[in-house]
Amino acid sequence: MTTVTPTRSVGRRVEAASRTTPGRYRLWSLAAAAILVLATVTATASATRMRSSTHRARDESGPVLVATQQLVSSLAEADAAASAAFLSGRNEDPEQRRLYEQALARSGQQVEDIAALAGRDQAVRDILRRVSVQLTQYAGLVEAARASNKSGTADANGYLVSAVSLAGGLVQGDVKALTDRTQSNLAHDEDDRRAGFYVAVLVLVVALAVLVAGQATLTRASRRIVNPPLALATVLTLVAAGWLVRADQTSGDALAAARKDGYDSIVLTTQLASAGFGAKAADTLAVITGDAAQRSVADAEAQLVANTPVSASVADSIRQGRAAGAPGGLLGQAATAADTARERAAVAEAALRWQRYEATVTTLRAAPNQAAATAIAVGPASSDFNGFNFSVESILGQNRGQFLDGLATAADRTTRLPTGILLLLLAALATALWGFQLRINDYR
Amino acid sequence: MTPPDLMSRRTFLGGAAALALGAAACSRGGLRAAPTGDAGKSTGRLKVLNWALYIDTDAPGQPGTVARFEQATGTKVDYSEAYNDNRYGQDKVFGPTLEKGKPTGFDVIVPTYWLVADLLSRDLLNEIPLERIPNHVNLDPALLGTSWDQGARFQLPWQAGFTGIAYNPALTRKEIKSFADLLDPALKGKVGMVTEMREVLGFFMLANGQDPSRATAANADAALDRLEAVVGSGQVLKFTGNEYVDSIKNGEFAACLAWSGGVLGLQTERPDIKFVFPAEGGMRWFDSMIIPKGATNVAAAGDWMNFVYDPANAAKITAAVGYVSPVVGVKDVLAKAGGDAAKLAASPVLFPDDATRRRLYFWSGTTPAEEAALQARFTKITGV
Repeated sequence: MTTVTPTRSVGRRVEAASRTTPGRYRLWSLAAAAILVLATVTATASATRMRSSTHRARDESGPVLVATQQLVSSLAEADAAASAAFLSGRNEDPEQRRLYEQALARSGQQVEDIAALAGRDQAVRDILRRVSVQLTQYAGLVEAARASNKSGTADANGYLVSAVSLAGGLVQGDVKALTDRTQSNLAHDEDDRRAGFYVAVLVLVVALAVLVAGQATLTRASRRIVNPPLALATVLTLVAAGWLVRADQTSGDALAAARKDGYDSIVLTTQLASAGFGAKAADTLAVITGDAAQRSVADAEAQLVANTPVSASVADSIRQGRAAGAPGGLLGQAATAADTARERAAVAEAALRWQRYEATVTTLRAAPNQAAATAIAVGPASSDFNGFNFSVESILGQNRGQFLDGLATAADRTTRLPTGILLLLLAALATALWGFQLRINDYR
Repeated sequence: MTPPDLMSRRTFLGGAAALALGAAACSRGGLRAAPTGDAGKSTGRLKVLNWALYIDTDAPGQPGTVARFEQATGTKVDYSEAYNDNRYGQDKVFGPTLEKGKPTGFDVIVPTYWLVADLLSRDLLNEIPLERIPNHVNLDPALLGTSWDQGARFQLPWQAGFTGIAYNPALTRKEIKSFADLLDPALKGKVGMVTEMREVLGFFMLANGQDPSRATAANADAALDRLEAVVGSGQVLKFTGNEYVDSIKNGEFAACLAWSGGVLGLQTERPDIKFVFPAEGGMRWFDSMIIPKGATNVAAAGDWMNFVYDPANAAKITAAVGYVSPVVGVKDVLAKAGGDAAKLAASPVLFPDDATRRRLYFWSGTTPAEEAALQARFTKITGV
């Protein structure tokens, strides 16, 4: 009894089939079907990955990043307002108190938003748990300082200084860790977008080559100009390949623009806000505690914001996009990074308002006594600083808009991609088989 | 006399101080938002819809703000004073147009802040073209920090004002210092209140020891309970709009809730009428310039905003309307102008000190749905 291995059997069948013209067409048909199935699988997988990663960036990692940067800004704002409200003494300034409560509530909301968006990311959840605990501790210390302040007890200053230290540690520690983690999540989504892309393109190119070669074979054997179904299959495959490449390119461009015009600017503006808040908080602490070292801290932070004075002509330079006239420091960097006339206008306004605040701080430091310094700190210094802060918020609003719009554009470019690619290639497969079958039928 | 169809809570000083200053595409239903990076060029006429008597007008040798703007920019302005009140805005301007995806036909409209917040929450506003408004830097920081539009990116305050108590000492026979004084049974049937729900409830909340800037449905309802009892007792003669000015002038009201600018105007004629911020605190409000989606001349709207945010121009408006300018530096311009304008600069009603400002509150905290329910009950109690 003779045993024939399956391989040999297939080999013999192929050999037998290749001896006849219809057999050769069947072999071409099988080859085309196999490569098109492979192309369908790899291209659809790549498109699905592209869509899921860009949609994840739009719906999760992007908003989480924005919320994380907003958290930094909210904490700093809460801290500066709490100090200013504290300074106003027993007759607390309700506006500063309102700003503190508003910023603290926003911080809590941002933590909740991040938790909801971060889903099952355990590392983010662990950090958020710690942030929540510290936020509660911080609010408790501020309330203790407030109550002590109202009752006139001596430990009020101590509570406030502890609160300020805790907030500083929080921003430098867990919130920074949160930023690092969320940045890495976005980078992962960006990288993941192209996973399997080159393989899919390679397989599509091979499929196209097979279809073209098959068409050439049929044309040569039958002396007909073209096999219409096979030509259609080739076009469909070409469209699928073009769509995939185009989607990769446009979604990549949109992501790059979102990062450059949006996220990098958000980071820069948040640094600007934080440095400004740092200067304000330190100056306020210097008034509360009389600690001259706090003024040095304030000066260092102020230098980060702008290292040269801002005049009307400097602001005009920023508006006109003449980087040479920018004031250096983070304001100068923000001016350089601003990519629209509106954003430059917002940076120019922030710069002018910062200068106003600095001028008021100079007056504050020259105040003849603690009462006069306190009056300036609670009154014009707080008002001028709020002006700077809300101007920065205006820049941030524009940056956030650009970032989220960029992510949305990237996601939109890929929304219909997987379904479209799948249908195109299935259609290509069907029409290719139909094309070969038409020729095979000619021999019956 | 002010025509009835132009009645609003905004009244005026009569222009004396103004004359003294003479020497000084949307995603909804086809609407598109304006470009967000650059408003482009001004095209055609600028269409502005504002409250009546809320701007300085032409006087011999003294062109008003509209005329000066046209002269300065070359842009012609269609200026309408048809914005009677916010209900008009909701029912006649925004309801039939923006909310149905149609343009309003205006480039700039001036609703009150809570309505602006509502329109913004529904994505019906264009971002203001900041690149055309360098004078945005003159905006009072206190008006930049609203929780619903931090940085004032979608609205720019036109004028602000305070609600306090106006009284006629000859009729009250005593100094009115607090809201509790207004509820004194001795004034039964001689008291007036304004028709703006948020302001009236704000006073009742303050009387209840609550903060109207942190309003909740529960404490607003408690305020409504108290209002209902007060109205039921016959303490309040009626709730009015700007007509309170006439009512206190002719003695119908001995005391009433009143808007600062209205009383300031009245005092030029009747200096015996007093205005006080009650001990419990008072209410603040502001009206804002917005650019609705579908506006066709966003660039000119920006130019207009920039023009009126110039302290010299803002001072002329303040002098004419008697309300609080959102522009920093107006007080200095008025003081330097001398005469009646300088008197305005010294007015504690127009420029209250910091301690007084700390007792003045914006209404905030309730959701649109809660406010609709509160408004329904308020209307049932007051009949307005």
